[in-house]
Amino acid sequence: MGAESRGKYLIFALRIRKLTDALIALVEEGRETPDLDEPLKEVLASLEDAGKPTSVQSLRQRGSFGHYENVVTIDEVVKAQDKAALVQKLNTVITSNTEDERKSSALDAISFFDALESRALYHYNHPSPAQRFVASK
Amino acid sequence: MVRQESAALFRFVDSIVRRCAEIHEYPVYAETSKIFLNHISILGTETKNFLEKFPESVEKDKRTANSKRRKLHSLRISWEALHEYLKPALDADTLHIPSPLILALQDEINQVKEAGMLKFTVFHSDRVNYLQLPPGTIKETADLIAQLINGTPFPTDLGLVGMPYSQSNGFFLNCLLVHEMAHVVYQNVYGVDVSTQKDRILEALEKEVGVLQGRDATIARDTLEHWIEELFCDLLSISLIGPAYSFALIELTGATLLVDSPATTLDPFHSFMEYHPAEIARFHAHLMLLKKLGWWGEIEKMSTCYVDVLKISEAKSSDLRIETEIPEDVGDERFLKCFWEMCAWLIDFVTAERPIPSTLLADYRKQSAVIARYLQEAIVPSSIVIDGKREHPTPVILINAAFRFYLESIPDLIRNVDKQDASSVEARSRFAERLELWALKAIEDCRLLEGESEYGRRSQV
Repeated sequence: MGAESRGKYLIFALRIRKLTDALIALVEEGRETPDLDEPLKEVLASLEDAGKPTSVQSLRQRGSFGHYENVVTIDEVVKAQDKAALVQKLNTVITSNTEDERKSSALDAISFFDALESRALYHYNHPSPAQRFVASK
Repeated sequence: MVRQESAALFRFVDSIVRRCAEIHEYPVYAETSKIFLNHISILGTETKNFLEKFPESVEKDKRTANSKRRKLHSLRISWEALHEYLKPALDADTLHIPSPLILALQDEINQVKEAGMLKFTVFHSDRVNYLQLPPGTIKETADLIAQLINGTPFPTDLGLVGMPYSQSNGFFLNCLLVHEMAHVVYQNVYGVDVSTQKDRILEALEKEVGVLQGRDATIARDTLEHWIEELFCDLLSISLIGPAYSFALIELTGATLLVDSPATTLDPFHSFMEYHPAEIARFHAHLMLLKKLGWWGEIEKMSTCYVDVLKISEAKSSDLRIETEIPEDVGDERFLKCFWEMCAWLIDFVTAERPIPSTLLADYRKQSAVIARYLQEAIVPSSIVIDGKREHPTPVILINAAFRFYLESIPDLIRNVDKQDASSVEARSRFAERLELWALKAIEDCRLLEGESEYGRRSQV
């Protein structure tokens, strides 16, 4: 893995942490920060699209979460069978009208984002050489 | 426990802040280096203030306590990343960087629309390859740390560029620094425009081969993005400083091996990697732009294998391979077509955004031969006399004329000055080093002649 790719995992971890901070503010104070909705929608787009045909246009909608390193990390952390439940929880954080429901879903989402952050930092600290080299070519 | 964890990080950050504060009168640092080191110091102090209050915030709510403690871990790793760049920045004092060249390149970058305020700080690297240093990550990391602790953002107009520590007095290879500066221009100014065009080209591809499946679209999009950012930086570099950039890249990559070599696609020069286009493809793109700008007419007849590399790149670029993962359904040939479509678009884009000055080529034609005569006599060509009139060549003309002299006329210089054996490799190397010093001096004089020396001191002319 090159220095460029390694750096992207660190940036991804920090962006996730920023999102987690926003979720913590929601859980503890019921306060919604501007850092919450947009990145959460981008993560949702990544999760909903995983495994399906992915157009270039849909990747653009995922913003910074549409990059390779981020997709790899999300795929590693989210098991296929848990995906639907997770998508529902994240949707609840954005759309629910009930504060308790939002806080409860946000708390669950924090665990997911903690796992994402840890995994991204793992890749940063343990770079695997030539990850995307295609030996067969 | 959280107090211990906070204190451990506090101590680590404090050691960095103290190191930044140890800058005194000597060694002297460029203003931009001071801005960088000062920012790290401010961010460190803000991080320490954040850590002072952190345990209290963790103890507030047990449900989120564990997640918050993870934040400490992320902050520590981020500070470790910044720490890696601190000593390289401290090592790059003004005695150990080619300041006149860096300032001349910065002046050229400042001519680009919306990049007029960009300034660059230089750090040293133990890697010889300029093209593998990712300083953009440091800026983004510092900014994200600031967001996480409610601190000060990284200065918008400050870019970081890395250079091999051994090249502190170098001139010719350091022309590659303009490429690293162009990355900052890409990230700050043109990234969105270029990326949008790239997506258009990939969407056209999808109309042919169908919507890409799963991670294929991510790989296609990211890979093309990496290649075109590199290509953009190459093309902008050429439009700013001319063919000297291509020559420097040929020297760094050892691409003169391509001249008179048997045709084989297993040669690494033919390979597109995850983050870089094949050198052959890059040099072919350089050739196309040099022709469009008119520079090619000035260098085509130079007697050097460096020009031969550019000439043969056109024919050889029909034989390229991709050595990184791309979508299987697309195939190498079709994916490379996307690259060449972007290349054609970028050449038009760069020439429209940054046309070369109208008199540049005519001035180069008139002055380069005279500059060569000065250099052959070991005279620094800051001011030259043509037809009885004194003229001051611009840095771009000096850079290209000096590079031409380096490639064509070092043996003449050796014979002329020392009456030594011009075939000696050692003598050639020694005189090339002298030539670099004269070229640097001439460029430094350009600023003096404009009434301003390095680091903002006014000088009497």
